Amino acid sequence: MIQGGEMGQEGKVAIVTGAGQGLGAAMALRLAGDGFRVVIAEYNLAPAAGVAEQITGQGNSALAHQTDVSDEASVQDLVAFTIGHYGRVDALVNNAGIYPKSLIINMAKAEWDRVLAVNLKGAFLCCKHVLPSMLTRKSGRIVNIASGHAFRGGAEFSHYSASKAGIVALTKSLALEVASQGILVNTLAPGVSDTSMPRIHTSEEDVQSKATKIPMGRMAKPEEIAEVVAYLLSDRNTFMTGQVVACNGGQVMFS
Amino acid sequence: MSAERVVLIVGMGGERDVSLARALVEEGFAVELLVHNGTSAAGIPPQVYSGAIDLMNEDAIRTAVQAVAARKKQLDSLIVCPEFAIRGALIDTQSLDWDECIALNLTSVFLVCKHVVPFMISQRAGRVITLSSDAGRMGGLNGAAYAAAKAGVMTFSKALAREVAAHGITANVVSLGMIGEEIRPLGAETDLSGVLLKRAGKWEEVAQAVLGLLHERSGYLTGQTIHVNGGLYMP
Repeated sequence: MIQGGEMGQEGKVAIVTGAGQGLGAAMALRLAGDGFRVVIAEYNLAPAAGVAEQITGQGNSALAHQTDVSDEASVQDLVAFTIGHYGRVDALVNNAGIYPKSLIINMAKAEWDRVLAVNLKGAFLCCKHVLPSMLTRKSGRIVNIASGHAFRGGAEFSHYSASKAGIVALTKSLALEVASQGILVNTLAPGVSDTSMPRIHTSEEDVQSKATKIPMGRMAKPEEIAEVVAYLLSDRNTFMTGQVVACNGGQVMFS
Repeated sequence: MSAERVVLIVGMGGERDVSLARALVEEGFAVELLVHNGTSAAGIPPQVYSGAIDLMNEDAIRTAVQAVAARKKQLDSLIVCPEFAIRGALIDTQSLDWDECIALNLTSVFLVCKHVVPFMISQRAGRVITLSSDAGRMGGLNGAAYAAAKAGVMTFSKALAREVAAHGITANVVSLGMIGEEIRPLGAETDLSGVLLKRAGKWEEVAQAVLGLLHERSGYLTGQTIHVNGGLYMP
């Protein structure tokens, strides 16, 4: 049963990358609840299939696709799969990303290259291959997921930070290119969310301690990030494009 | 350490490098120049020692940097200014062109810094300056790959600044608007109408901004981006 709700998107199709867990899964669930038919693109098929099952269990429509966003052929396959099953692409969330940690002086080039390929090139490739469908209908919405690190540059996360800064510039550039075609492209910069990601490099004790230092005193719930993405991808967003929207409980206040 | 201040410029061998080298020599710096896939640049002052570097190859970068360090015994400052622009709509951008743009504009900066910084760490002093472009902040109409790479450079430099501060090293960026005779479209700007000063900047003016960051009294500046753009973009 399609709920529709305030942001009824019946018939519209969204691709969310990296949606097998965490923020991506929350976004996929929210978009499905808003009436989108959702393709869950994930490097690992099993968690993607799990999210798709959760969505269909709620009476909505979702499919899983095993995708390596850094591989153009894989991205082309993802889009062909989406159009083959659902006929179109109306919305894209570039959420897939990896988050390894190294000092610059110790960092293997292969690690740098992998982060740039998944986090930044992956977003470029997904945008490139969904655009034809959006341009046909002169309508589309894209959200690229960045991070506060895009602006502050994180020690031991220079590659991650550079890739996210690249995402912001990619968003602005594409927004300029397609603005006259009814396609709106924005960046969402989440702060710290209560998912597995902050726990990759930090102990649970430190994660909880750092959370209290966020002005709102806690990490974001994934649904709170999904809420903002849902707006940016909806028909209610009619004039916002090329922007960075930060959702971080007051942790960083961009000028 | 000798009183001589050694600056290593790593670039493409064009007017940008020549202007920088000239300004630095005039200020009394000992200048070393490494040119991507070249060995020198026309107009380089005779006092400048120049050699080749392949910015797409980490082993070549390591070797070239080590040769400079072995000869000069110290590396006070690094100016890294790779430049490779591709133009075209994102939907038409080829994967290989994207890769080359990122590799030459962004990955090269990481690799050069990776191999220069250890020398600065052993000196417990150093200044790293990277050149970037305001396209990184304005977004590039028909220049997404270039804008993404240049934005990456600006934030990379901040991460670097955080990592090396405890070692007495600073890292800053000089970000350029429209400079020189060839006016490359920048962001949504395709001509000089958005520039308050109604003209392109000169490479000598860029060199002066770099010199400012290298001045001994500029030691408290780190993690910053100085925009040299005649008022085109105000962050």
